[in-house]
Order: sequence, then structure tokens, then C-alpha cells
Amino acid sequence: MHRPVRRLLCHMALALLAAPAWAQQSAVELKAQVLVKVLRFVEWPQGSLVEGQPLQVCLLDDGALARQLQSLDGQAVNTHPLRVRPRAGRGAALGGCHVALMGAATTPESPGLLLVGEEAMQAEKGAMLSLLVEDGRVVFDIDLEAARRVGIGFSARLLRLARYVRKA
Amino acid sequence: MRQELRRLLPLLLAASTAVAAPDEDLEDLLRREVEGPSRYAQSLLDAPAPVAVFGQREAALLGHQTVAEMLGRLPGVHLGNSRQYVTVGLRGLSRPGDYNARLLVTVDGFRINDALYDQALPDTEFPLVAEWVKRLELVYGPGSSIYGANALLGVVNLVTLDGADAPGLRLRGGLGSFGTRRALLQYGQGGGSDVFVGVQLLRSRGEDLDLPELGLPGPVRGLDDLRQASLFAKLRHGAWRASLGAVRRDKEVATAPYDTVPGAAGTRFRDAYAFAELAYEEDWSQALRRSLRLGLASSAFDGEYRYPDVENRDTARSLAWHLDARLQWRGWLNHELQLGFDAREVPRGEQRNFDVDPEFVYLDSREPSHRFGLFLQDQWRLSANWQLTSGLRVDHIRSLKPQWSPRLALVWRPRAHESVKLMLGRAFRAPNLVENFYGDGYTQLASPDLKPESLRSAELSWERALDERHVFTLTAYKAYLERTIELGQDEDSGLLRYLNLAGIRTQGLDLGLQGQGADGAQWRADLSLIDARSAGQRLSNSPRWLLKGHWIQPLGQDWSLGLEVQGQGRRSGRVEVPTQFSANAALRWSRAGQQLGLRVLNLSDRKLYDPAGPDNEALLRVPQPRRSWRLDWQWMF
Repeated sequence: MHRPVRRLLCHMALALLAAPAWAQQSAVELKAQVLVKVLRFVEWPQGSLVEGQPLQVCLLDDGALARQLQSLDGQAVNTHPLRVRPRAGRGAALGGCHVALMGAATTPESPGLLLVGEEAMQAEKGAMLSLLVEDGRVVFDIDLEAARRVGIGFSARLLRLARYVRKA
Repeated sequence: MRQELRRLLPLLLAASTAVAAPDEDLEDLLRREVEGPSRYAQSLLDAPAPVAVFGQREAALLGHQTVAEMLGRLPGVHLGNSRQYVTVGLRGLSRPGDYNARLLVTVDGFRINDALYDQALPDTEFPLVAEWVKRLELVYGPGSSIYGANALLGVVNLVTLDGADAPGLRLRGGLGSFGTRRALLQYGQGGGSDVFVGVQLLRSRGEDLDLPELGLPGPVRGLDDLRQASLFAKLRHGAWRASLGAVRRDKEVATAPYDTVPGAAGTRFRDAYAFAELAYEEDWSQALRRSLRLGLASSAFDGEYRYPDVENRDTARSLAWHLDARLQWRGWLNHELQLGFDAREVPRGEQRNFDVDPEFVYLDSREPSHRFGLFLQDQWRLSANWQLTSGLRVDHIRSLKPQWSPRLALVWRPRAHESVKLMLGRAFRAPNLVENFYGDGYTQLASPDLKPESLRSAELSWERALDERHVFTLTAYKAYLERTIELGQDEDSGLLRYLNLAGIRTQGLDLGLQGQGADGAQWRADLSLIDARSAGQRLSNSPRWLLKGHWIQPLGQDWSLGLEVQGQGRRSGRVEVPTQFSANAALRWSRAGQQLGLRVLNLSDRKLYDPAGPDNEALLRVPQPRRSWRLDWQWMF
């Protein structure tokens, strides 16, 4: 067989073999992508996020999801560029943050701040949006009541995609 | 489960179009599967019933070629081989004369159980081979609240390969003991229109069988021949799918059934089954998801029986139309409602029995059959950790009373990798056309007044990931099968007749452990303890325990070794079949789509038996296949 033909066949075979590989992604990668997409359906209180203003995601955690989110810095969320602010030490100010990725500790509520967690929703920890892996897929829970208290709303469409929505 | 089917297409579309509508994007992401060890456990923790899953990778590495081999790996399943057909038993229920009518088998949701026997045989009688199945899911417990009749002990759904899963042209060849030859051709193409086509041709000369009960001077030679051809094709475009499957199988029968001449050629069975389905299955849009499926299935059986002075024939033909419409609605937060309607219309189910020369007709039955059902199910997430599924279905079948099938399932998720499920439900099986109308007046009487049998069950299951790589499952169940339909003896005439017999009580435990090594090794071990009784007596052909396990070990880049072991406790029948164990091994080499595999079945060449059923009256027990090897190779173009 001519070498180029052989090489071509080889490449084809490899490409075909490789195909199913991108059918799966790591949970962390997928969670980060889901979070960014979910943010498109979140409504912040009037005035706290004006058109074109960066949407600030503050990391209170330095786990795998936090690291993954940093790589998504600069992505567009509706009209806002995403700004991912790495953890700046315990008790760092959350001023200007629209979203906070919680760590293991409880984070106090603050107006206009969406608290995002990674465990099945535990009201006492305060997460308003929880990203979970369920039967091999990423799902999310929403605590509507907690979000309302800080003036945050979600589109009806997003609520329908949620695994579980906690109401008052 | 259905979502699984549709996972790849949006993915491919997403890959080719960089910018998609934002809302579609999120829905696609939520459909995507996560990689990692937890996937290998293949569990469905959130499903409202215990589910066991067997995937393509395991099947390939263990060298499986039939759906029966895949099914046989799952907890609680005990297959039988009557040397005529391969039968399926589940959790101790494998009744004489029932090959597999108490388990519903679907291919991508299409009901395969035929219109005459209401059965789906998973071995060479099945239109799909193992290579075309992406995953096999066995949902334990009564499933009639969604699926209606026959979903008595469980539901098996086969998710078939998409073209994108196995792209390109593959040619497989196989050679094996007992003069076995196999050729398989398959083609897959992903993209906007996803295509998958597979064809198999199989031929086996079969074994020489030691059947001392037949009183012949030596083993029965040359009467175990098998020829089979099967086809499966699927085209998917957007929400549309068209599927086609067909199988034809010719089997010589060596066991001299129904008083035929022992050791003489000429007793043989031909089975054919074909189905076609056109489906429109939407993804979620807003709060609604709709699906409509229209299908057609035909089945044919031709039995030739060789008697000393005459040749007798059995023929059975059926054609069935299927309609299935479903609406899923998520309009209320935390609820998912499903409303469904399905119907099966059999214009004519034909059964004939006659002598050829001189011609004499014993049976000529042409009976229609129709059924339809309506169901509603609500999946209600009570909290982040609790879920309650409730469902009710009503079925109208021929002249029978309406059949109600309720179901309740409570799922508790104490933590991410743990679930506890409690299920209560009722399921039923209507008498099939054979049980109702097969009667030749000489050996067997028709039984048109049979009542449906019904099963009530309670099941509790616990599944927990012990760590990243190990999963433990424990299921306890109790069920009562009422008015069991079985072949019995008519009081007045003494002839055979299907009757509603005494109820059967079963209870048992399924205990399973599965794990995955860092090197890609994968193993699973299952122990089932079963207690099945009728009128206080232990049930025949029902093992008190089943033990099965497999281990897949990658050996370097290109090689892998797969081992399977199974054992089952003694079973009663005409004679007792003692406890028996068997093992299979598969060695595989694979590189860039080229493969070579060697498989040895019944490694230690044990003499294994199954109790003989009414279809093998002349025998006390049926010998199972002895040691055999197979060599397979695959080219990919």
C-alpha cells in the first residue's frame, strides 16, 4: 500500500476512534459550563448589574470547580463579560460580587449576591443554586426563597430545568 | 431512559455549530454524560426502581455475541437452554412452557414481545446481536403501570447503537467449535442524519448430544444444527427515528419433543420475527415533551415434527400494529407528569396444526386480539432528598375485565452516592393467544376462559457508593403471583390445558458489589437468595441461590482478559439437577479498530444440565453446551 494512503487510513481510523471521547467530559468542566449558562437566566436586583457591566463571580473556595471557572473568565453572559475573581483570603470583601462560589463554610446572605454551592441543597449553608452530579449528568437545585430574600430572581424556563426548586 | 437515546445527536450538532441559541445550550449541557469512575457503576440512583445496567464495553470485553449473554450477567437472571430455545428466568420464576412471557423486552422503547406467545427470546431468536446494543437496562419489579401487560417481573430495555457510536464500516468474522461460523457486517455514520446498519449470518453444526433417555445406542449426532440471519437498521434525523429489525432462525431439534422419532432428522423449528417503527420523539421545549410512535411487527413459527408414519406441522403467524403516544409535562415545579396511551391491534393470530400426508387438520385457529391502555404517572420531588413516583394504568384487553396497575415508589437520597428505594406495585399478564386457543383435541385443549395472572410486589433497595470506585447494592423483595397461568391437566378429559393454577409466592435478596481499578479493570459480583413457593411447596426449576461475577482486566495497551463465573443451586424437575458452576473466558487484542478475540465457554468442560420442561417430555434433564471455543476478528475500514 502507498504510504500516504496508509497514513490517511490510519488517521481516519484514529479520528473515528477518537470520536466517542468527546462525548464525555469531566464533571467539573461540565459544572462550570452549566453555571455560566445558568447565569443567563438569573435576574439581579435593578441597578446592581447594568448593561455591559462585568458580571463578577467571586471564588470563596479554591477547589476544582473554582479553578475550572477561572478558565472561563472573559466569556460573555448576555451583555456582560464574565469576571472571575480568585479567592483573596479568608474574609475578603465580597463588594461588587454578583455570584459567590461557596466553600465548605456557611456564607452569609448579602443583597444581590447569588450563592452557589456544590452539595445537595442544604438550606443552612445558604446556597441558592446547587450544582450536582446525578446519575452521570449535571443537575441543579434552586432555593427560590433564599434568592428572593436578596432580590435575585430566575426565569421560569430555568426553574423548569431544575432538578428541585425549594419554595417558601 | 429515553433521554439517553438522544444524547449524542444534539452533541454532534453542538460541535458543528459553535454558537447555538443560549437556552438550547443549557439543555444540551444537562443532557451530557459525565465521565469518570462513577459512570462505570452504571447505576440509576434516582430511577423509581432498582435498575441494573450492562454496557457495550463490558459485553465486548467479555466476548458476548447475544443479548442473552448480556442479560445473563445481571443479578437474579437465570437463563435456561431447552436445546430448542433459550429461556429467561428471573428471581426464581422460570415456569415450564414459559420461555419469556413474564418479562417485557423493548428495543429503544419498542415492545418486542410477539403477538402470539407474548414472549421475547433473547438468544439467537432475537433480532439484535450484542454488538449492536449500547446498553441493556433491566428494571426490576412490576412495570405494568407504564408498560401494561407482560411487564410482570421486570422490563428490559435495549438502547441500540447510533451511527455516531460506532462510525465506519466493520466486518467481523468468527469460527468456533461445533462447526460454528459467523459473519457480521455493520456500518455507522454520525452527523445530522445518523445511520446504523448491521447484518449477521450465523451457522452452527451443533453438538453431538448424550441423551440416554431416548434409548438410542449412542449420542445423537448431527441434529443440533442452527442457521440464523439477523438485521437491524436505524435512521435518526432530528426528532425523527425509523428502526427496522428482523431475524430468521432455523433449528434442528435433537431432543425428540412431543413423541417424535428419537434420533431421526426432520423435527425442526423455524422462527421469524420482524419489526419496523417510525418514531417522533421531541426534546423538552418549554414545559412539554411529546412523542408519537407507530410500529408494525410480524412473527412466524413453523414446527416440523417427524413421526414414524407421518409428518406433522405447527404453524403460527401474527401481525401486530402498535401505537404509542406520550406527553410529558413539567408545568408544575418539582413535578414531572407523564400521560400515555398505547394500543396493539392484532388483526389475526393464526395457529394451525396438521398432518402433511395424508393431510389432516387438527387445529385451525384465527383469532384477532386487541388491547389498549392509558396511564398517568407523576414524579414528584418532595425535597432535595426525597422523591415520590405514583402511577396508574388501565388496560383493556379483548374481552377481559379492565386491568388496573397502580404503582408507588419512594426514593430517598441521603447523600450524593446513596439511594434507598421503596416500591409497591401491581402488574399483570393477559393469557396469550396460544394459551387461549391452542388445542388439537388430541393432546391439548384450548382454554378461552383463562383469567389474567397478576402480581403484587413490594421491594426495598439500597445502593451506595463505598468510595470513588466501589458500589454496593442490596435489594429485598416479596411478590405474590396470583392465578398463575400454566400448562396443567384438564380434569374431565385428562388432556393438557392451560389453567389458572395456584398462586406463587417469592421472596429474596439480591446482593451486589462492583468495582473499578485505576488501570481500567472492572469487576462485579452478585449473590441472589431466592425462596419461591406454590401452595407451600418449593417451586420446580427454581434455584435457591445464584452467584455470578465477572472480571475484566486490561493487559497493557492492546490486550484484555475477561472472566465470567456463574453458579446456581440445585433445581427440582423430573429429576433433581444438582448445584452447578461454570466459567467463561475471553482474551482480546485490539488496535485501531482491528480486533482479535478468543473466547472459551464452559472452561472446565463440566457436564451441565437444565431440568426438562413439557417441551422435552422424553428427557429427564437437558444437557447444556460443553466446552467450546470461538475465534473472532474484526476489520474496520
